[in-house]
Amino acid sequence: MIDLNINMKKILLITLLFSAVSCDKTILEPTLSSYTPQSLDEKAGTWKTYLLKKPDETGLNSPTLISSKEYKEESIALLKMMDTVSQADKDNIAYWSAGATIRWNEIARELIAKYNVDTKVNEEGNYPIANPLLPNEYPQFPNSNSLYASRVLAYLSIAQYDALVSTWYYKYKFNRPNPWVANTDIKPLIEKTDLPSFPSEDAALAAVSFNVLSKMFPGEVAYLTKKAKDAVSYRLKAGMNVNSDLKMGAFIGDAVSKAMLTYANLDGMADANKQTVLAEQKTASTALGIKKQWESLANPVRPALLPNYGSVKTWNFDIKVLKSLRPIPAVLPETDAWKTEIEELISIGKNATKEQLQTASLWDDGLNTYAPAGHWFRIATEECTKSKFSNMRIARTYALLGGALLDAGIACWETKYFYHLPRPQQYGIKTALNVPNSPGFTSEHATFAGSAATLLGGIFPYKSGEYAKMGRDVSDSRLYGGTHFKSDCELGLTHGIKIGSYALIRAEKDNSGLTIATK
Amino acid sequence: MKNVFIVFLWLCGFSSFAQFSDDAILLPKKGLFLHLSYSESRFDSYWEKDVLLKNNDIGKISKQIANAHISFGISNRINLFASLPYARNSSNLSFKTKQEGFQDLSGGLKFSILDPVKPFSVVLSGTVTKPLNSYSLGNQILALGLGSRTIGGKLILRYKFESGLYAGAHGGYIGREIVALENDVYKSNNELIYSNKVAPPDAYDYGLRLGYLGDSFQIEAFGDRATSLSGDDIQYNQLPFISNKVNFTKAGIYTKYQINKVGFTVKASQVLAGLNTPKSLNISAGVFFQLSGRNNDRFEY
Repeated sequence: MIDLNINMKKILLITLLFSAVSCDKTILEPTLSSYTPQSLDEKAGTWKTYLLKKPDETGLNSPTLISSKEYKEESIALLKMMDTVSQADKDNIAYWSAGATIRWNEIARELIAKYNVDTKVNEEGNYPIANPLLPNEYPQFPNSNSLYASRVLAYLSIAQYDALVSTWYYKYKFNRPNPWVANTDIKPLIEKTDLPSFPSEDAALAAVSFNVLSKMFPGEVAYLTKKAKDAVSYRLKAGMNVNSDLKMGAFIGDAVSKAMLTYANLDGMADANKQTVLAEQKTASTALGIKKQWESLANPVRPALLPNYGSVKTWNFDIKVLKSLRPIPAVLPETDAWKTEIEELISIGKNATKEQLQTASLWDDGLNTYAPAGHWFRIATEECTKSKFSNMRIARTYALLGGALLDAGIACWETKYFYHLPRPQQYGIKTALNVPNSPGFTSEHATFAGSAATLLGGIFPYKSGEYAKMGRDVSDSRLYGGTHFKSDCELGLTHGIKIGSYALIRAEKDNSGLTIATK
Repeated sequence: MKNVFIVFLWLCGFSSFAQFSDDAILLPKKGLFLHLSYSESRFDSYWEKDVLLKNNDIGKISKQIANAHISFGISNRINLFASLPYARNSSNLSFKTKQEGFQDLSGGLKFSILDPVKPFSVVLSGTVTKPLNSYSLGNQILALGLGSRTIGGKLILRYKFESGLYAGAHGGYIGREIVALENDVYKSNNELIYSNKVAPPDAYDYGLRLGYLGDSFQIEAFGDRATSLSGDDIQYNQLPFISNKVNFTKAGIYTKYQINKVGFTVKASQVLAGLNTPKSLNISAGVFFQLSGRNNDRFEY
């Protein structure tokens, strides 16, 4: 009997342990919520645009007066719309009111991660090339690698910036009273603002973001259509815009996207994957006295990642500057200095600390991620919201960061394929990371980081030390991970810092008066 | 004795310490038993969702595990057990770092509901596991484990004829705790999750076995099936991840030979079908020792 009691206790114990398992496994993500911007940036209509020659190039007509019959009808339609707000509408309002610039950037990062996948080898032993006309068929188009990611985020952000400058210009030019001023029956569901609602910045952002992202991710048109619809309808449901505000905002967005996509079509990306340039590049590399060239480590050998991307058009400087900034390798393969760097990598392979390996993993931003560019946009977003930036000012930050990252990618690629220097893995150095399919000199992660950290340090001067440290961490991370020699990282970082300073020059001259730090 | 741990990670679901899973045998009171084993599993292909493929970028993977397993009879009907595996996972690609270290410590108890000497055995067991070190989780092809604490329970049934032939069945459940990653963002179902937390799915498993258990010799054929209760699929050309829904069916043979207080075990199993899991072949061999217990007791292990 006593023995049985013990057994019963054991059963109870097992049952208890067992039931403890069914605990909640929900993963919580940080939520963004709306805030009142520290400034409306009333003068932003005079900030320098990138694509538009003038902010009024879009050519908007004067809006109807609030005393007009048309406006009154719009106003009544808005009230009716607000009567039908469902829970789903409220969720949508909460989502988009956190800031449309940020939301569209998040959407872009998500798509980048989704398409940041290598193509599989087919039965014939080849890596098929994605077809932009059949984006949903394997292999999916695009392959959203680190370069594609920086280009997507740059063009998206630059187009958003121009669209908002133009929107701001008209907002303050026409100064049409806001819906709740024109009709006091309208009680907006989110905080009212003194920012004139005609034309709508949300509609401009939705149009420009939809157009650019649909072009960059042609397989996502249905998804983006829904997002764009939600991004606009929330303004109606929340009582923030009448229909004509939205219509004219979209008009500006469409005009700017046209300019952006024309630029994108001619930026040289079409030739970026020209594999025929490789032979010439390798000959030139040998002529420089380089004993061993980079080779793909994939089996079978994977075509080089965009070997001609170095000739894509840079944003903040021209090709002459690009070449003048190109780093000169500190060590060449199989020299004495090179042997020291190999030994260092062997030693790191044996003795890397847990923290070093974590740093390597934290900044890897490889396949299936939002890539280094996405990581830096995430970092920028964090500070933009902390500083309570307006949509306008966020767009400016994003556009500058986008340009800095775009140039970093291009300049790094020009360097990589100019020298064609090998990866440490060609000499037996081991790595836990995925080895990117491109030459080792220089590290693109370090270049992106140097450029982004420099630009962000100019926008947020009180954080410049912290960003510089992040830049060094990224540079070191590639050494800890073993995918680069030390000089690949260090010279990549300095290269990036120079590239970022060109973005800062643009920032200083954009008439916003927001960046005065000279690097 | 046993380890209830068959539904362990998809990468070591086939590891050495699964070899005693699901038996209905208990040690007598004060019996102490030590089993040392070595196992190796190999694969060069895995199911991306339900499509079996080779991925040349990962190479041929080899996972070796040295395991120490100890059991103790608190009474004739209650046994305690614990095991500690040391693993080394490597790829044949020369530039891939191997992962090596202690895997997850497991321990638990087993309770015989009916008198253990009866032909019909009904046994309940519970196991908890805990990762001993914070091994890298990023690359699940080579990672030592899921890094998750788990808790599992199992019901084991067996009928043994006088001839020594037996038939058995078991079913169990394993709960896994949320895991912290090195990074604060990851992709799941093609969406970005801005968190360093990821939930490995809970799973249930069941199996059947037929065999012969004599005085010194045992041979058994078994089939096991494990199913995750949630989780996502490996997407196009992606690698396995902690959040994956992992299912597998495997079959194998187990044999044991015992002379007095020392015995040997050999086990082989092959994953036959699966979802988001490697198609691996596992072979293990072990030696065991009866460390205490009354002299005339045969350890039916």
